[in-house]
Amino acid sequence: MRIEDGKRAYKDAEIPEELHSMVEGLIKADRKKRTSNIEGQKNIEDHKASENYDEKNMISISEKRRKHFMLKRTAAAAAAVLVLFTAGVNTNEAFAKTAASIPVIGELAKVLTVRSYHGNDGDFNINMEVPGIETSGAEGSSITDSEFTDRINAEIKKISDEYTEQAKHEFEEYKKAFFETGGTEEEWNNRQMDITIDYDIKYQENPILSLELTTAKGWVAASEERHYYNLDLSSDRRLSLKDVLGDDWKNICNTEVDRQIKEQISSDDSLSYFGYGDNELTAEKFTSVDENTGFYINSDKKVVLVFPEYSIAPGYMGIREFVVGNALLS
Amino acid sequence: MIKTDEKYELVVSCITENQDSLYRLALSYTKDRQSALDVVQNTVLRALESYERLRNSASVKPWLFKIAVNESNRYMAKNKREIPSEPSELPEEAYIEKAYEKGEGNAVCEAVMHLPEDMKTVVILRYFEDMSLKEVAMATDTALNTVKSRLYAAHRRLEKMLKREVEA
Repeated sequence: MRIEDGKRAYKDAEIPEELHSMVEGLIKADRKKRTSNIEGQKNIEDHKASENYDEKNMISISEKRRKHFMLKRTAAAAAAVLVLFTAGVNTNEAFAKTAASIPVIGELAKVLTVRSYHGNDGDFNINMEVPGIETSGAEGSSITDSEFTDRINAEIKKISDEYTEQAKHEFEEYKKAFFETGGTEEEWNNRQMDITIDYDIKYQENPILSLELTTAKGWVAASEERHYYNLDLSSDRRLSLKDVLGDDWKNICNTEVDRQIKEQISSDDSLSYFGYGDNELTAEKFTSVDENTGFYINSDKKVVLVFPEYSIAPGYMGIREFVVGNALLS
Repeated sequence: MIKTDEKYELVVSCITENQDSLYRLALSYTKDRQSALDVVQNTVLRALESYERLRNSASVKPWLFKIAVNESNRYMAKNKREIPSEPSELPEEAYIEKAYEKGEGNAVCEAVMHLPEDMKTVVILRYFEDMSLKEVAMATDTALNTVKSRLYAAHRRLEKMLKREVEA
């Protein structure tokens, strides 16, 4: 007897007649909603072109858009509130053994999801994949204990926890203010805050690891932050821009960023940076990278600088990245 | 913009193609028709709402099933109906005996439906919906080896329930 033998009986289950019309109806309604949203977006684009487009404006627009969207959500979906744990905190060995599909950095370390959580938690829609680095202490490695990666892991955990706490706090404050200033339940309409924590392995080649941690929240306005861990696991240290670009690192970065900004704004006039072009006199321009400038190493072994939202360009430009040159990796 | 539209169409066609499968999966949890339809409805709504989060177009099917599994779990938790899963909790072996009369296939299917939820889901996706191990891992949000060990455990359990050998 084979498990597949059950397939036919399984597929024989009667499909209710109304299934297909229901699915078709849902798709149809969604398409309609989508079209009207796209039109709404166009209006915003026009608005953007015709008025001085500042941060305040942007927030009020996204609030309006979100409200519009929320109102159209079905009651069934909006009312569903539940906590779903897909996995607890996994620090035990058993988990490490089962997680064989995860990337391995040479034989030195693995990056794995130590905490995974996806679901609705009251006012929050949370999507969380928290990474952790696990060293194997393989032969030939200089790693005698995992104190270094423990410290990194603790930092990642701390950032994730604090971000989530902070985001929740902000949203609760906002909610409180909303009702205190006369907002009604109907207007509030079960709106939720999206909280996302995720990671991406940018580069991994024994013994170098470049890991990105992203924290994001979305409510009346969306924002995103990124943290980078560029590690040399053979010597247990974090790499600096000087390590990967040499002594001339500041000059290399500054020249490239300046050149690329000029190139970008001359080829696309929807792009804008503080202190360049039309903003020349109104905002302080990018001057120099420093030890705290975020960066990662991409799969082509190039160094990529990352500037947070609002740091060198208006908020609508989001996070800006610049490829500045080859990483000097032995 | 174009890329987003493509993603949307991809999700829509995946929903349309797999709606029967989504219903069957939901039914394996809820055991009743109306609730299964509700679960499918929520699955479709959620998929259409969050299609932008789909990262890779090749993984649209496991992504959709992942939503369905989550929605099924959500439904079950909300309605807290105990579905007996331990062999000792099963209402004797009556179901399976009866299913035998209709052929071995029915007996296997019936037994699968009485597996613990996490085992049942991987068996359905792997053997009844023909998904690859990797896709099952994505759909259930677990590591590949967890899928393998659940399938293995499901085998042992099925053999016990059916009182005979079951091949993979």
